[in-house]
Amino acid sequence: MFGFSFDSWADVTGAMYIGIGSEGTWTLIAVVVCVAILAIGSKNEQDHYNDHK
Amino acid sequence: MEEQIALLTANLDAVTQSAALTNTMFAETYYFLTIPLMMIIHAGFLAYEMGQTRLKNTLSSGIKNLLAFAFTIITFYFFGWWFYWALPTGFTGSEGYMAISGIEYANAIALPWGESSQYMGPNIADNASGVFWGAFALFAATTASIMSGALIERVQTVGFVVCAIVLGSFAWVVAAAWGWHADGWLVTEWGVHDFGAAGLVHAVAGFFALGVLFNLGPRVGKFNADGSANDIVGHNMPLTVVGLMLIIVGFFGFLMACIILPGESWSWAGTGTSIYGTRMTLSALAFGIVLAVSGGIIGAWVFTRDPFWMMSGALAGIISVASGLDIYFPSQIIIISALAGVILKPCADFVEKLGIDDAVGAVTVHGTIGIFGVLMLGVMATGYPALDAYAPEGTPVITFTGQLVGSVVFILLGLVPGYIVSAILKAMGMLRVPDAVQLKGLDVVKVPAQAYPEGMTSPVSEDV
Repeated sequence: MFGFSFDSWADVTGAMYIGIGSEGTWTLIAVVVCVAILAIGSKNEQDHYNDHK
Repeated sequence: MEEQIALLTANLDAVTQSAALTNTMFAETYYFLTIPLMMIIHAGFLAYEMGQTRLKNTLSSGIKNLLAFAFTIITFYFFGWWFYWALPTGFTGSEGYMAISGIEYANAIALPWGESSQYMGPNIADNASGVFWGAFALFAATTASIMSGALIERVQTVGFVVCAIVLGSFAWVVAAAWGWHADGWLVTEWGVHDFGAAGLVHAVAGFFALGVLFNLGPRVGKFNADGSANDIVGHNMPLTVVGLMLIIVGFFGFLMACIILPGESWSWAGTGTSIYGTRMTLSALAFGIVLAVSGGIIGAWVFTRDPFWMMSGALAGIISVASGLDIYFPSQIIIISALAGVILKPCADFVEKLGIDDAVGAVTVHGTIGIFGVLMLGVMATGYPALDAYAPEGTPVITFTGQLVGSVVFILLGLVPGYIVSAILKAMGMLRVPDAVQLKGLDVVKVPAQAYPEGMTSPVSEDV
């Protein structure tokens, strides 16, 4: 997930970031994080409304 | 002699490379700087909406704005950018004549996984993808902020975020793919020309807000039993007016990002052009934007004498001429923007008479005036080229009919998804804040901070 196969950034001619080849994994984790945040936020919000109805 | 020629050739090569590098860096810097300028729009929306909110709901409005920005930017990265490149020719996702559209093309450049990822992250050979994506992402966030104001004081936060994602990373993006892309079918088949996105950003966002408002309902106390409306006044008009002026500042970034610069592999021509490849200059915008702001202010002043409506008029002024800011003569801009300022309040009053509680006039300023702007270009510029650079023979020119077709499409792209997604959220109990909570105040119920801890508190929230 964090791999690389060059000695210097100067050897890189195109994409230049950590974990080339694992972009899909990182993106999936990011999606899950965002969905979880929304879900937690929604539950928290509904709890507040229910406490004050 | 031969040595001299070789030396001159080498020097010429060096100068050419240096010039090319300078052009590339200038273009990258130019688009990069539009991003912080457009962030100012969000500083403006924060101030504007919090000022227009009653004391008891102030921070809740701010939170809503911040989350709309954040989630729209993130989802635009995940999938919004893909829609822009995949759908110009329609929902079939086929490739257009310029070969820079279609599902296959979008899969190759606009997804943050697979081979496409190299264009969705740091790339030493790519000085364009990130800054283009960034400028478009800020356009997306702007649509969500436009909708945000209309819904203040009674929309649930997470429900609103879902609406913002649908608008910012789908609805307006489809409008842009169809009407703001050289392969867009509204452009290639109807000659739709909307340089500054009056229709595809402002009208789509305004009508999306309207679709949500149908399901959301008014604030408690807005309408009386006989249908008459009460004026619900915000707690800080100066903050609102300053916020609107900040939005105007940010607009400079928005509109300069609508220009395609020359000299790069992705450029249309040897001069700056609109996104349609029609030649234009930044100077044209310098004339147009400040005059449009001014015309809108004085037009709104005539019948309202109210600084809120005057600054809304400034916004409306720009939106009313945005479609043709590349080609209007400045005196025309003064006339059209002043007219937009004049009709602004009557249009907003009409919306209110229909029983719609649009807290800040977003449906009018952005929806109605956005359509007014698209149609006005059809009146003023019939016969002028809509699409230039590499346009195939027989490409339609700007016509009133074409602008009308574009207007109908933009309205529907806003209204239909707005209505549907809000109806689903309503059914799930995630759209409207309960009336009892509205009466107490959103801040005291769900925000762990106070807007003015040493000063103003809302009397209705004190005993909660």
